[in-house]
Amino acid sequence: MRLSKGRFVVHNLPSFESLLAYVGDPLSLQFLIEIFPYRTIAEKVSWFILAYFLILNVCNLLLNILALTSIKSRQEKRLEELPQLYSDLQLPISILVPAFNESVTIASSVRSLLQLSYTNYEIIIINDGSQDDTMAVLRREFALIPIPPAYPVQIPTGQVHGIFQSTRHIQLRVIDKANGGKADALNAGINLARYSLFCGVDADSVLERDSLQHVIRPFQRDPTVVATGGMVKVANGCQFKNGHLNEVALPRNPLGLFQIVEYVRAFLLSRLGWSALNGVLIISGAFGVFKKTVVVAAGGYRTKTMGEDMELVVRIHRLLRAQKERYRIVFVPEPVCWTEAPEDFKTLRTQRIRWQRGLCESLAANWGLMLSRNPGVVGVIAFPFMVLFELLGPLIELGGYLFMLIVWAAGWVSLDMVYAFLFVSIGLGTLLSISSLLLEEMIFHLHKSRHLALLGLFALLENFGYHQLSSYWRLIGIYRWINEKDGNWGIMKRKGEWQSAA
Amino acid sequence: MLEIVLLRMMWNREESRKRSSNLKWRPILSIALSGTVPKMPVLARHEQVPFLELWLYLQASVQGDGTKALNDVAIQLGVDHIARRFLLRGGPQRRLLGIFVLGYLRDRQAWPSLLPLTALSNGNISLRAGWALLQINGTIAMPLLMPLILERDDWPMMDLAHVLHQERHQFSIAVGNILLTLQPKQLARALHLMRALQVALPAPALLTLLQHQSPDILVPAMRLAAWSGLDEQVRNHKDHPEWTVRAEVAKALAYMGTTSDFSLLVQLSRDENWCVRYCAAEALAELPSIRGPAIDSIAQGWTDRFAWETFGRALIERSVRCA
Repeated sequence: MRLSKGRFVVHNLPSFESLLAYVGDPLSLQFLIEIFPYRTIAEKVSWFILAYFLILNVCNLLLNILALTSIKSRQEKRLEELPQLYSDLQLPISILVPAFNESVTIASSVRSLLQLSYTNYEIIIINDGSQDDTMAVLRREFALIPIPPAYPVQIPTGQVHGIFQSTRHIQLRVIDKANGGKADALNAGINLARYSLFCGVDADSVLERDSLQHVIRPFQRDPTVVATGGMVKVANGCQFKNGHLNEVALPRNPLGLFQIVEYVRAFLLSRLGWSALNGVLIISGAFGVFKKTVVVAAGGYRTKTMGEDMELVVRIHRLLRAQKERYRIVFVPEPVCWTEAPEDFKTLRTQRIRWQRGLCESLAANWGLMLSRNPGVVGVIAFPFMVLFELLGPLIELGGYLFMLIVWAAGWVSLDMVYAFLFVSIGLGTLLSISSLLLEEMIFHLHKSRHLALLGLFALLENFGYHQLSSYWRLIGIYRWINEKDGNWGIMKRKGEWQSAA
Repeated sequence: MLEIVLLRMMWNREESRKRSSNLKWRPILSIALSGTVPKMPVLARHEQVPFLELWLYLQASVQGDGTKALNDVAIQLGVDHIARRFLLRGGPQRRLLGIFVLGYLRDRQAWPSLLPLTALSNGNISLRAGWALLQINGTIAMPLLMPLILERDDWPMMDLAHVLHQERHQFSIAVGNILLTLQPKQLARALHLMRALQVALPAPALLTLLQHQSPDILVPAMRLAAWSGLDEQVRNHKDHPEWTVRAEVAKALAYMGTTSDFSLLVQLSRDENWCVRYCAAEALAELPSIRGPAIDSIAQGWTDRFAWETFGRALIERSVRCA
């Protein structure tokens, strides 16, 4: 073909008959197959996949080493056991609890929060247009009376119907508002919060009594800290009494056990490692503390996203990097927030799709961080890591498994290559899961010996099916994000046994 | 996997040692605390750490004669030697244990070893070493520690206030001598500490500080001034351009305000900044004259709806607090 005066002029075009004869000739087709470099391409793609998994796991192992070195667990542990140099000068903090259709558990959740061992805090429950009797339960249990809505609206939110004060607990207030989603509810809570630090807590989570003391400590030690995230653990199987943890145990459901290993890896290995580099991009919505002024300056939680917690953290990074401010976002391994993990496939699938979609939205909305003039570690390393291994991860991982299966069956790659692939994808993945358990054992000593052995077994098994299934769900999340289908939180089936028993 | 198993085995062994040590030593220490001299067994090497932890736990729970009884037991067992050894040759945890023990024992021999520890980059160890020095001799330790107290950001104010609590008289003397020569950042830190420790400053120094331009210094100085009865000087800042200062005026009036402050608080309750308004509303609600019919008469004269609502909220909160 040749371009001539804006038109394509085709020279030497074979006739239809000659083409048909060419394709129809089995000898010619064979010839094409023979000369096409399938093996070379298959080998090159295999090397790419191998390299991808290798880089992913090496990065994770480096994060693991960083996490290990940053843990001064034994020293901290000892300090806790020693008499604390305690004072009433604790930084005041507002606890924000968005609640949507939580009538079964809300009263015990609030009672649990009222018993925290912290002197200076307020609790703001935000009833986000619940369709059940969440508000009625709150009125009844905490003797609420309406108070004038006198507070500055720093972040626009959905309509607030009323503000209520508990006559039994001075530190407890309730916002009753129209449904606008979790982010909107948190924004309403931020508006009403009177203290300079706030902590977002899920209504169905339970905090350890001393969790606030731990999570506040970085703010006391370093004025540049703008946010801290705490360790979230799976509550399934544990015994709770009066809204507090009584005994750590394991669930019988294998999905619950897999998720315990997963949570430990996600929090201790990844976030603790990134924290050492000031590259934390996720602070769980279930338990995180923020400086109110920074969040207000960033515009509050974004309502049109499914991952409002991550999106806010990435946006704070972007904002403070652009302003060339000195700041730190810290992950604290000590404090523990207990939350119930789904134990059926349908709920778990919905949750994972939502998480992946939230991740895609958070990263896509903040590309500027990577392209910033002042990207820092978070823009140069953490953000690209997230894009390469968390956003695109499921695609390359599942594509990799499928591709290796096909090329091995076709005999285009050697068995050694397949073994190498299995080693880097499954073997190193298992090593990471086990090393996360090691980290947990170094910090918490929470589980009984036989429970720890069971978790070790599930850390081994996790990479043989569960991880791949989870990647598949995440792939659906990516697909839905690309297709911009309407976001849906789905219904989270919870047992809430500990809370109903409380 | 092997490392996890080893860690668990080590932890189990440690826990079992701790249990057996507590079983042996808790009754002996209880006898000592009751005022009787107990028969003292030998403190085995593997019992040292759990014993010291138990001893520290009890030290934190008792006062007066109890402290002396525990110290006598410790000296009899040679705990001071053990602690000094930990200080010199232990890891961070043992070093920390040693610091606490020597602090409670007020061990003068440990002074030369403790002093350099205050300069360590580890905030935990350096602050606790400072605490131990203050326990041993507050008069000598305070001037030595003062530059660190005012400079080290990694010594949290909360912990520092606790460390200085017992020696707050020494602190007020030491800081009073140098207060007006300090750099603004050090001055602000010193004032916040004085405020936390509820230490009074002489009126002339306060009057000088109340002329300062920086809100970081003015705000803590105003609180100290309010405690010292310099009410009028505090009220003078009611029109300060910085809202934190105006809010502090309102807070101070909640503490020292009288009926005559009513109009000033009404003015502040219409401030452009919400925090100032809220503090003023709280201060108004605290005024003794603002009860029953007085509230209705205020309501009739109040044209600013937002200020009235803020006041209404403060009144409700006050009534819940009092209930």
